[in-house]
Amino acid sequence: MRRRKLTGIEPNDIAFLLILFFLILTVISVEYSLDITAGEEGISEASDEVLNLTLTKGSLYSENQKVDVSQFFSQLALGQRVNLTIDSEVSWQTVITTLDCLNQRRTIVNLRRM
Amino acid sequence: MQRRKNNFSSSMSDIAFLLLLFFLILLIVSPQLFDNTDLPESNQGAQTSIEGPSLFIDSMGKIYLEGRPIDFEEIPLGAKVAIYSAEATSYGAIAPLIEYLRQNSVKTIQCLVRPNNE
Repeated sequence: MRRRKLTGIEPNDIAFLLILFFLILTVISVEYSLDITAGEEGISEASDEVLNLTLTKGSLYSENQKVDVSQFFSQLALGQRVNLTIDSEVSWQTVITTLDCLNQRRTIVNLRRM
Repeated sequence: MQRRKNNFSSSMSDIAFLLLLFFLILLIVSPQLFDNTDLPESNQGAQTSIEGPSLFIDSMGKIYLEGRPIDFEEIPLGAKVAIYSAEATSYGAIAPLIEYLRQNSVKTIQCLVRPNNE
């Protein structure tokens, strides 16, 4: 049996290690997303089944009445259709947090800008 | 017999080389343009694979594709579009893009988030 030279580093070994490195690098960079369905045509405002929410900096309004965020979402009907009108000043984090809560109730959301 | 072994060895190194090229190209094509720690936190964010173009929107509403500033007309439209924006960005900066994507038959907007590890 031919013994492998201890000092010799073969190009195959380097290539294998580099592949391992890039594989690990690809696996580590995992992305997370919150998906918004945008293809749907806007939900009709006139429909009784649609809830009109307005999100401003620091407050949430349901049908023009200020609501307590901590209680509101837990009482929201599952699968409710929602028109969410958002003030331009609201931060993206606040929008995502609100969408999180609506997503938990499996609502169908239509985003609008105030 | 010896010749066969040499062929096998050279084809293995060819495969290794091609795999290496593949991962290198993958790394170049999808550069990490954005610091993920600035993304908004979400409880509902799910692990995802980015299938369409990834757009970065800065606080002024300027849109970037692969690090290059682009106009609305230059956005490569598909069924899915991923958007990166910092948590502090105002909705006013992002809303025109969402409206444009909606008007141009984009079905799903993937809002890139950071998982909430609480």
